[in-house]
Amino acid sequence: MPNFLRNVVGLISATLISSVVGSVFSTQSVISSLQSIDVNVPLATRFSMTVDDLAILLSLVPLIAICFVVGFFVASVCVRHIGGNRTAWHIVAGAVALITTLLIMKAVLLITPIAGTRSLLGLLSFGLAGAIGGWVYAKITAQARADK
Amino acid sequence: MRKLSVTLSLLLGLSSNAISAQHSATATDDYYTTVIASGFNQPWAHEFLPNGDILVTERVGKLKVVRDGKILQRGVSGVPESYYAGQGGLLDIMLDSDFSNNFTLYLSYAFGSSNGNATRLISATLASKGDNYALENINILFTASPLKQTPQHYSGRIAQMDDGSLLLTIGDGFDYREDAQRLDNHLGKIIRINRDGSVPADNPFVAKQGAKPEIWSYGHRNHQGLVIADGVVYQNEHGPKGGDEINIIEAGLNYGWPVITLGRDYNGASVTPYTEYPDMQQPLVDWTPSIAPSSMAVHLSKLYVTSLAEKSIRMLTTDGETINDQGIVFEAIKGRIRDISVGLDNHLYILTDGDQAELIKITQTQLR
Repeated sequence: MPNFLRNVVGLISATLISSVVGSVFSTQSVISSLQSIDVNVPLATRFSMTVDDLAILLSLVPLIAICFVVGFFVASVCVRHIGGNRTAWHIVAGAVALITTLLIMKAVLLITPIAGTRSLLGLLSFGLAGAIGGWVYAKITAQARADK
Repeated sequence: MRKLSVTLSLLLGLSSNAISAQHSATATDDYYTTVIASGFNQPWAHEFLPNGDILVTERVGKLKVVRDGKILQRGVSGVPESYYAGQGGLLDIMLDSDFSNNFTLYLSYAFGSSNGNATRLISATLASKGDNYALENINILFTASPLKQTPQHYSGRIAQMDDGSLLLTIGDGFDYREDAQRLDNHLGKIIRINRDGSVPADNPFVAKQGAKPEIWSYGHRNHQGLVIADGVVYQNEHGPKGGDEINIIEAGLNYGWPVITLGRDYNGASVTPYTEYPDMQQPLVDWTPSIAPSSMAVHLSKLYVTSLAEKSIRMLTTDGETINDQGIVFEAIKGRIRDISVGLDNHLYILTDGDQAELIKITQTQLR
């Protein structure tokens, strides 16, 4: 597979997986907030709300894709000029890209754009979703580097 | 002596009635509109003085005076500094029901800074100062607690009950929506206090351990419409993406936000899995998709609700227990509408939204 195509596949895969994971984490955070005010959310209701919330992928995918383009570019520069483990750089880049974007959006919009990230745990879980995306991208594109 | 001067000015109408001005008019079969004054910068509310002058709050912190169809160059002096950011700033104004004797008015505004801010309610007396007015004897009646860090969802609409006590809507602060269900804070509540800021002894939670005694109802989001007619308290509130509501408010009841709503977050995510839940009130009217209801008035036994997103005025009928949306009226009026009230001449007046806003009179030639 050509390197460019592999990069594109890697970016799309990372974006989709991070979006799904981010959506799932966000829903769990919102449910946790409801439970903090003594709202009962049975397991079946939690599951159906989690699936229902995948509707936000339409808004999440473009946002995360832009984050990853910037983040993974920075990661590749770091690998080239600083060295170290390529996968680790992309994991960090994925996490930092999403957390930074959410913080910037919060500063600009003066509100938290994704309710599930209002708490520190919710914000970090979104970072974890980004980290998973970074790992996916690094693994898919690793062969491209090995072929060089 | 000054009080006598104010009395004469306000009650005898030394200034001619501002509504006589007609800058432009739009006519239809059963109503026509007249622009009374224009050029307001983000107005939020207006109030009619007995002498025909009209006071208009601007979120930037100014209290403007409209006289004879013109906005006086200098606004009312002595207005406390408000926190102007996001949806904050100077908000509602209401004359006391005994204004003719005590010259007292009430103002709500965003108080504080980006580090900590809240909805605040003050009282003041309106005194004549030259050819204008000044606020004197300012008393801070209430400040919502705790301070929040978002400059959104202040609400801030004021109403006065028949016993003289004051109702004030306080929004959930956007990022603090679960607090609307917690009675240990004022976010997402309607509070009720006496004219002097004290807590009425018959408030529903005065005896509840840990609850704020000012709370009158809870489970609200961003409620910018509040009006009392025949002892019934009507309220409207913004949902998020959908879930705009009209409720009839009763003391001590839980109106559900954010546990029940027909709305979703702006990104499409669920706020909650529930549209109903035990001990939570259903809205009497729900608007999904949102119209963004801004204010409300009662005129000739009809409710009129203005909207920002739908850019409309809706008329609703009510028997005090149920409400029926009759749809959009005055359809020729377009644009984001911030406020509506009934003037001294028993006609509807609206304030448009934005930085070149207008005060418009609606004259109904055929009453609905």
